Amino acid sequence: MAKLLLVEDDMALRDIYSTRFLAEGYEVVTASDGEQALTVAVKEKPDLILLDIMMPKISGFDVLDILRTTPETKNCKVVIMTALSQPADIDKGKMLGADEYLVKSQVTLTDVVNKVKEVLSK
Amino acid sequence: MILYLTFGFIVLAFLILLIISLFLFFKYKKNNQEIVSLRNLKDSLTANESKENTLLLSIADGVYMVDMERNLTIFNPTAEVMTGWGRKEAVGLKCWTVMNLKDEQDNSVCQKDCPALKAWRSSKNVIRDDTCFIRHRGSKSIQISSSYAPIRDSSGNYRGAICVFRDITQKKEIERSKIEFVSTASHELRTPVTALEGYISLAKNEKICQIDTKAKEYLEKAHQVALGMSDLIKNLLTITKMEEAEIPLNITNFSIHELAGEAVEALQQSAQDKGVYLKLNEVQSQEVRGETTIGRSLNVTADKEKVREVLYNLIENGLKFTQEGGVSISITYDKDFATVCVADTGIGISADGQQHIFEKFYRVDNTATRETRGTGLGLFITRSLIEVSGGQIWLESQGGKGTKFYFTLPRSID
Repeated sequence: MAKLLLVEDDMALRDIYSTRFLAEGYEVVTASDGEQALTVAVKEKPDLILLDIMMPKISGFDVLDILRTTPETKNCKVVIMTALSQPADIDKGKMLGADEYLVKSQVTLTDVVNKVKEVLSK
Repeated sequence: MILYLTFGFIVLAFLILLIISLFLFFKYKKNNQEIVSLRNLKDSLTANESKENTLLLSIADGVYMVDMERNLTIFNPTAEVMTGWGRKEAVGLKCWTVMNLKDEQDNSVCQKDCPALKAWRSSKNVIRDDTCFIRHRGSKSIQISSSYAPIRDSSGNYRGAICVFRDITQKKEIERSKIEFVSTASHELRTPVTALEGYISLAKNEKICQIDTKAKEYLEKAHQVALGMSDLIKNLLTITKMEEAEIPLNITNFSIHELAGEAVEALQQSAQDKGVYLKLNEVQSQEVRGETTIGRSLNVTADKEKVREVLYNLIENGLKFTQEGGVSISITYDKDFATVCVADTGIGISADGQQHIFEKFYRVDNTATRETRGTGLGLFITRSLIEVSGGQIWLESQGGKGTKFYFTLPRSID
């Protein structure tokens, strides 16, 4: 089964998403800030990264930028999941190479699971 | 004989003298009366003038008057204190030199939207709460609430305009910190509510938990409440953004008919689940009030996503309060505007309810609606979104006979 890296600084949300994805049969690794996300991404080589934007240390946008220019991770699928909903943020995410951009207040847990399945099957 | 003649002359002369003196006496009396009345008039005029001066001197609001060339003619002491300009230096100058008004987006009001000109053109008072000016020889910005009225002479011709203004800088600051508080509180609430909703959804998930039917039923209810809270927070954030004028508008030309079609398609399932219809009527006529519009496109100019939100909100409301029949949308066009009507066959809104329906946190208070979920913010947001798009919104309804919501959007010039 596919391996997911879940990057989220809120502990409760990390817990909820990983529990749900484990139940769906995915292998899940987690990171709680941008720096950790980059370390884990290189080490674990996940199939897909679920990436928050507003996080301590390195923002999600910068993480994405580094992922796309690092040989080990440049082809890894990335789904951004953030509270930022302005068109300018969405454009920035897409421009930096995100496969999907989800706004937290607009999606349910099931929506996220479906979106991840969809992106992985592409 | 001579004696008689002499006596006669004397009598005649006396009579003539009497007539002359009587004449002079009456004339003097009349003059005197006129003088007195003139003096009275002068006194009363002076009294009026000093009454006006006293009024202007003692009034706690800033007052200034301009003539038809918009030169300042009167500038009261409060205006002096508030603006930093002395009366003597200000009077005679153009009003925009002294009161260079800017709106909340820092656009010059005097250049594009002069309230005095507007008052003359509309012959109505103009009231504004959204302007500020910079104090003379300083950098402090003063926010004011002001009213402008045309001045007419006795034959009804315009002679100038009068402006009364009040410093509301502090009031606006308090308002801003209130909005900021609500915004921060909502942001802070969002994460725990999302977590709450997430955990409940995990508990309900059969792949993760095995729970008994009763527990599942309660969790289902708790989940609905959590979703309601999450809606409320989303709406609060939208409102605070609107009040901080932080909502960026992405104005384009688009077909409102197509957009309404998309909304109907997207919400068709919820209508079917409820067993009511949801349809979009075809455009019947492009000819309204004799003004033919054939040859022009039927596009409107607005923020498409905001209008989509408005359509969703009105349709969802219609469906929510309709048990039999359904919701239909029709669009008509006149020279300048497209008017969208969202009509339902639901429970309707009482006359009292109609008065308050667009207010913040207003919810129609009757037993039929207490069971329905809602934050009481949807229509407030809807109205604000339509108004920032340059349109208007209103409704027609009778209790028990359905409701028709109408909103207008400016047509594009293509």
